[in-house]
Amino acid sequence: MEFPLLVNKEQKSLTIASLPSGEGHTARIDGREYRLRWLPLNDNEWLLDVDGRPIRAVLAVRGNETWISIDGETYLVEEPGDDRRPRRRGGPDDQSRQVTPPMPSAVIRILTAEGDQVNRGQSLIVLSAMKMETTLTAPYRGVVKKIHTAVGAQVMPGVILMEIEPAEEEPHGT
Amino acid sequence: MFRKILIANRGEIAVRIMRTCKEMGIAAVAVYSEADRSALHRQTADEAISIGASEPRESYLNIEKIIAAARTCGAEAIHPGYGFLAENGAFAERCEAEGLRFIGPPAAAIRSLGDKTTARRLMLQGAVPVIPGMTEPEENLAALAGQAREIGYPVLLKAAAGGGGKGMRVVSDPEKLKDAFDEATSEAKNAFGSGAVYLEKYLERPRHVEIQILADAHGHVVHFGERECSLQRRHQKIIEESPSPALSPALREAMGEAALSAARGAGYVNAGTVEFLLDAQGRFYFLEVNTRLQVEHPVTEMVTGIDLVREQIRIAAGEPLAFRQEEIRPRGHAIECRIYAEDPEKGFIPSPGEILCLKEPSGPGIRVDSGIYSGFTVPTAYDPILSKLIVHAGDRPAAIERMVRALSDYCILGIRTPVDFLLEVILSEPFRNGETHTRLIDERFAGWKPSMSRADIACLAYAASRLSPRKTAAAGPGKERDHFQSPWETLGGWKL
Repeated sequence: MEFPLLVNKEQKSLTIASLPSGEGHTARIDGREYRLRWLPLNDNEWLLDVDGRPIRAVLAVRGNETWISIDGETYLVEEPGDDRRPRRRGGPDDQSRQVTPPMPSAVIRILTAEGDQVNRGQSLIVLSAMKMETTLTAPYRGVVKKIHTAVGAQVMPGVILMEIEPAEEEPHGT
Repeated sequence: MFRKILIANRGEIAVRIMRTCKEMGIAAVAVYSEADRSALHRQTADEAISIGASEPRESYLNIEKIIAAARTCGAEAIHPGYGFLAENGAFAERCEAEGLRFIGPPAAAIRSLGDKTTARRLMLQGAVPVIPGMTEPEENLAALAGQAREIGYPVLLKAAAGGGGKGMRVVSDPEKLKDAFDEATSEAKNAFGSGAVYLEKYLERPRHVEIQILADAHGHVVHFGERECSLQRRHQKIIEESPSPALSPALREAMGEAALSAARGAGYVNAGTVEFLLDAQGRFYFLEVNTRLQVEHPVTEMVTGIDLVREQIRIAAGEPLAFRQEEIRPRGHAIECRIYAEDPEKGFIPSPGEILCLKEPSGPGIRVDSGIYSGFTVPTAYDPILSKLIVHAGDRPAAIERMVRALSDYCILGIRTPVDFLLEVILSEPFRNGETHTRLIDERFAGWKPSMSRADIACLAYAASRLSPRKTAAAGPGKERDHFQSPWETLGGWKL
């Protein structure tokens, strides 16, 4: 039985089979085989036995993400298709073309107005989160069509703060 | 001695100060904002007073509310911690005017040393070497641009009232000066209430070395040797250690003496830190005086065995220093890692949110100064520091091994932290060799990605959790997973 997983957004293919009772499982990950047993310790901790080596894993679940800590390293594991949150529309390329905060922040200053011409890289909005300021810049040359936020507003990643209509001719590589 | 102290701060430092208060038999009073209703410092206190909205200006930076809280609870003294009102001369003055003892230096010393341009003038008078730069803050951009040309790019824009990298920008290109000036001014205004900035020559790869001092009200001043704080990201320290791998005994003595003369010249009382930049040739330049307890003070406590907060409180109560310079004998080596709510994979942007699970390291020579717990939601309104992990061992290599072990045992789930990043930095060649400088993280760890060395184990752990029968309803499928059934659950006792 095979299950695709996303570990820190990287694909991993996991196959697991149970052995005759009391002998644990065999697991294969991307072609590598492991002998696996485990003992749940509490709601968050599992004692794993991987090829005879004991390893403590700490896990916590939020939505479709499972956070896992092993030896000080943290992993985010998801099952593709196990997605109950609305996906961001458009491909990953779209993200870099949107004016959206990288983290929950407050809007400190808005440096342009609707109808303004903006050049690629021009500063548009200054945000503050945890006492740190960041400036969002125009992803491409164009005209500011609509501003969806105001100074003082609390904004979240993924929220589009400004719509910019691309200039008709945007030469590549500039 | 005081019977009751109000701690005008939050997070790990408030908790740390309260611990010493308890050990001294002094009642500790917390103040907390709306965002901190369930914060650890509120739980740790003997008494807790709500002081208003989450925005710092409405609560932790609000002098009226803090003073009113101190009056309400009958505190005799106020410990400001670091940040917020710790280096605010007006606050120190107000405390004294209200008959409340401010646990820190006199307002005059905060003003003269806290204002970095005045401090530079003081140091120049006392013949302490300073970095080429301005001795007055400048609000006019054109004048600033003229100064920048004179000093020569690259220059460093700094907030006159600041610290902790807030309101600080490196400018290499004259055309970028305006944007940097606007950002720095606004950031400084938000963080410190004053937007005044000044310029300094930017040194390429210096070490950051600072000297901890204590002065009592009877004219005695001692220093505790150095902390090296060269490892920084976003101009904010992330790893500190003592002793510095770069200091010879002669250099240590020279820097210690410079720090003492700085303190004496300013009429300093209580704990303070004199910061220097040290270049590759062993020349040191005065940077600034921090007129407060530093974030990284535990490093000094570990090597000297002296509780600096206890000494601060004793000094504020008028007691003389209990030791002479020659009685301060650092032992072994200490390293501190700062644990922030931030994502090292994305340029260290803040990562607030709920901590789903927390496991802290323990064992010989390990100390965790923490302000968090499992289930706590890290608010967006404040500095993202969560905790500090400090280790102490016989020598530097042993301290490094101990830090690696401790970081490996540190587990914070639900928000991004730099634990795995710090592990790699501590294990890196330059760190092991003591070749640290303030640009090291930017130069060597830019674009850092997690190693993924335990990714397979993470998959196995995931499988184990999915195939384990849940013991309690809270952790079971009912809570998080009743919306769908994954193959793991539907196949319960399947066989292949």
